[in-house]
Amino acid sequence: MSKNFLLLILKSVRHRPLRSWLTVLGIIIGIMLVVVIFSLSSGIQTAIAQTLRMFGSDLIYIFPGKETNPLSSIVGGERFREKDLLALEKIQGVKFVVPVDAKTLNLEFRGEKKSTMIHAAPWKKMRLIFESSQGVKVEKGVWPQSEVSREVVLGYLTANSLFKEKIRVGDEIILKSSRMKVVGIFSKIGNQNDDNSLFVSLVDFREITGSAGSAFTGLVKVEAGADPNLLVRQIKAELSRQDVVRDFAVLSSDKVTRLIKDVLTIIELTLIVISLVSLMVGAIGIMNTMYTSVLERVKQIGVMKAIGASYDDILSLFLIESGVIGLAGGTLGILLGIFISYLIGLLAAGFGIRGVFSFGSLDFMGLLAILIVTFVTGVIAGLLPARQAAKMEPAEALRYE
Amino acid sequence: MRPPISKNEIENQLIFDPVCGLKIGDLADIPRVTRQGKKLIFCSKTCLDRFNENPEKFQGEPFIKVRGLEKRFRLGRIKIEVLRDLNFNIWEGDFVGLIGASGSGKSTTLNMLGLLDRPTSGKIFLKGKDISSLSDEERASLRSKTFGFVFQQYNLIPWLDAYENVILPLIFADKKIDSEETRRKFREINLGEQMIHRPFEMSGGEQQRTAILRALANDPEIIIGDEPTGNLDSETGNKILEILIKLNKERGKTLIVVTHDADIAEKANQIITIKDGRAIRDHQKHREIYTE
Repeated sequence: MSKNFLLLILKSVRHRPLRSWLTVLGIIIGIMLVVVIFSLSSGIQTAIAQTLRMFGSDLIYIFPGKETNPLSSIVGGERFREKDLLALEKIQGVKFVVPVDAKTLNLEFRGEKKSTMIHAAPWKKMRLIFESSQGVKVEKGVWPQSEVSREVVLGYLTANSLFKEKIRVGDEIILKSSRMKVVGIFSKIGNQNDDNSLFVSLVDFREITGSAGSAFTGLVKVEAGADPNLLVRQIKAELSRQDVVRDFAVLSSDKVTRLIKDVLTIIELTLIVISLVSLMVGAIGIMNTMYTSVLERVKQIGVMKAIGASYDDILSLFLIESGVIGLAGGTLGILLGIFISYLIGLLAAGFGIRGVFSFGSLDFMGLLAILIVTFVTGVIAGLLPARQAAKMEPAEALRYE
Repeated sequence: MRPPISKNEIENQLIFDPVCGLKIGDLADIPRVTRQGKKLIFCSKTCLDRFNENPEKFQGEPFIKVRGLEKRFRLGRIKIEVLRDLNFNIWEGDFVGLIGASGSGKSTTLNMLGLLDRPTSGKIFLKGKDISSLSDEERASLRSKTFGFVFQQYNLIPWLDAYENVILPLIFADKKIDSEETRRKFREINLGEQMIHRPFEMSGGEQQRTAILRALANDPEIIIGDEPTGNLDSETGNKILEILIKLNKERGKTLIVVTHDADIAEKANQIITIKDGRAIRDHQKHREIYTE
């Protein structure tokens, strides 16, 4: 096929009426979804993988919400009573329990305001968990000595890149209108969520937020040699005595890992099914527009045949054209998908969750595969209309008005 | 002295006029008979005159020979017989006018000759080879190499500019495009500036001149025109006709034109009149049709 033949096809694609292009919206939406899923899921998976690496194997997590759907705890708003969590310490094999709270709050430093995720727990227990189970150290400064000293420790990225100016040990920050002193900065933990957080004592957190005697989650440190699975069952039994949080999940770090991966897989599969349906709708759209196009150009098909176009020429002309329309839908879908992923990344960063999207993590081979798939989808959708066009008798086509 | 022609001799002779190819029975006038060597020639008066002008030209196979051509369409339950037993010859380098009333079948005939349509029955021979039953691919290839089409409505591709329309046959024939030569041809017919215009930006005459350039792109032996001046005013129409006749006279292209225009028919070497799907007369001059 000559270069001129391809140029001829591109020229005819360029002069398609707007409504032909609108029919590829299905393809655009389908591909956009696929791109959003893949570009974000790799970011989310990286973030989760980093977080999971942090989960010490001697920890058990307690969340509000059903075990089969831990995400509901995020939106459910149910909170444990601190005393119910601390009561778990009497179970044999439990070294101690850390009530943990978290909230996104406004953080101000030298006139600049950002919203940041705040994690709160009693300092001593937090230090034990961080240092012994997660291997995280205070890199600069020290751990606060008192629960009521209005001192904070910053995640690595909060100190170094959240604000225009770096925050140093000794600086003052304003957390929801309360002045706090930075006494320490953590080493890089490796997960965006924690590195972008700010850590305060539970007492100070409650004073600032007004939440008293409750905690969002609990962390249980297991004694060396104790069986985490047995402890999970015992903790469940103990916690079912309280009646504040009816549905709760008690998960060993293994189970957390599996659950999160399962949920992500379900979300991915659902979105892939949706995007496949959109792709099919798009393909039907292309078929429709190609049939219309054949009807609109019956006379021109007759002319082209009269001046020497063969069956194969007309077939190629329409097939490549529908392929190009598919490809254009794919390209627009990819661009839109990347743009939306970027926006979601920005939005997530606004909530303190960073690294959800990065251009560097885009899978270019995957994007190329998407382009090939959309081209092939277009070609397949154009097959029947193109055959109809190619089979026309020139005289009959020339008579068509 | 020539020997007299016997009745028996006549009965065993050709039933077709060897010059114009019409069935003897279809001729409007009484066939003239002449002898060439051992062969008897039965002709209409017009054809006999043409034969006598240049007997050498009419030896051997005609360039195009149409025999027993029939075309039937079906429109719902109605059967339409457009062509019935159509016969005629066309000789190389001639300017042939196909005339007849609307619906007589002249455009259908032209479509068959140009391989744009298939006959229901009958045969068309090009240089002695039957071209009526070729495959689609062979027909496309022959159309590309042998025929150049000029339509009444110009039929340029609307999304391509004039230059691209002209090189289109070369693209389909997968031939090398000499853009400088194409530009020169545009300038030759005073369309140098219109080359980059799309059809809707050009006048009817400009479009038809472009269509003629397109028809000539592959240097075909036969130019087929379906009322090429039908949509033009008489002055522009005459200019287009001049170009076509020049191609016929100077470059030896066989020109076959369907027309209602008496002026065009006047200039043709051969006129084939079609009535009710049959070639009924053959006239050298259009005026004779009206004087008879």
